[in-house]
Amino acid sequence: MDEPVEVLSVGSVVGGSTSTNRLWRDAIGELTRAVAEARADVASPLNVNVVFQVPGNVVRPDFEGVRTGRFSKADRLLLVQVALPDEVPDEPGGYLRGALSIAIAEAEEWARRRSVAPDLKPLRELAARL
Amino acid sequence: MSRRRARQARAAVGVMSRLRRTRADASAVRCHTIRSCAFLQRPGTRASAVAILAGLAVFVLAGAADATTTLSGTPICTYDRAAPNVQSALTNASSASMRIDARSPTNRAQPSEHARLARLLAAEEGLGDAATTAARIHGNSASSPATSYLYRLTNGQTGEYLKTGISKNPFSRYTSSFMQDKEMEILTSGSRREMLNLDRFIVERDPGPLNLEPWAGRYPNDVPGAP
Repeated sequence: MDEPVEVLSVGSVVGGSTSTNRLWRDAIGELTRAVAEARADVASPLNVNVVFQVPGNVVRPDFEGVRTGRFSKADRLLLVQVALPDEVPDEPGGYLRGALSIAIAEAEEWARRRSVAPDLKPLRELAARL
Repeated sequence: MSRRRARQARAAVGVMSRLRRTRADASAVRCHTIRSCAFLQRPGTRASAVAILAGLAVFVLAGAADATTTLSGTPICTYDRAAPNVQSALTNASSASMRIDARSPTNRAQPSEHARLARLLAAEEGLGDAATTAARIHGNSASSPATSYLYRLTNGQTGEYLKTGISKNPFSRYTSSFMQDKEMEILTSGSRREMLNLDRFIVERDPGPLNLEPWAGRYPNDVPGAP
């Protein structure tokens, strides 16, 4: 599947559809669209794909919080996974934007540790604009 | 199970795995002698389970380099391709030796038989994990007992349906670019064969643009329950 690598992208894995995680899915959809609009003309030494893992009735994330995943050297693309809680907060959109910032901070720390990039300031600024 | 016995079981299972990989070289296998060891005559002992596993593996593995399987600190079956007679000196047992010609179809061990034997022996000796490993089925095989998940992939921005697929570990087994602006919804789970059947049923009738299987869209209007 050849598609352009975006500087910041959002994905989600929903572990089965439930009435409660519908709210998560809607909020993630909004965030995905907002990120897609905001990332135009943004360049970064490291591309980041943040994947939200939504617990469902079939399968649940096996971790809590945020963790870095695979890194594609060819695409300079790092996967960061965010496990969402069962209970949906009053403002799921705000929660997701906060989680996105944490994920970018995690990616920045990873990039610094691996000497991939000194910082991810463009991505931090992008997340702040959302 | 003691640590030593666990190590022995793992060693036997490792040999079994190599055995499968070297089956193609079976034609090059020469005749070798395996002396049956005294304690093999005592069924029910833990040692017998591991020894039989190792014995089965050794004669098929003869195409490989030198291999020595030890139990209880003493070599019981030593295989040396260059000097097969050495094993006589290293073997304590005095029972009759058995000539095995691996080139003979009647003597060539069958993997399914190995797996069955390994399961039986390991179950008897409480080596459940070892048996599972010995009889391991590839994860992509339809016969794999591992749980698989049926998922539906959509575009995260537009909601456009992209594909239906199956995955062994949907929360982690995807590439970093696969999930860019996408939503993967897990529909159900079950055995791999069940999920493959479901996946195919759906893809034959309702394929997404990323379903590139040859059977995608084969029965586009065959919707169950439709008039």
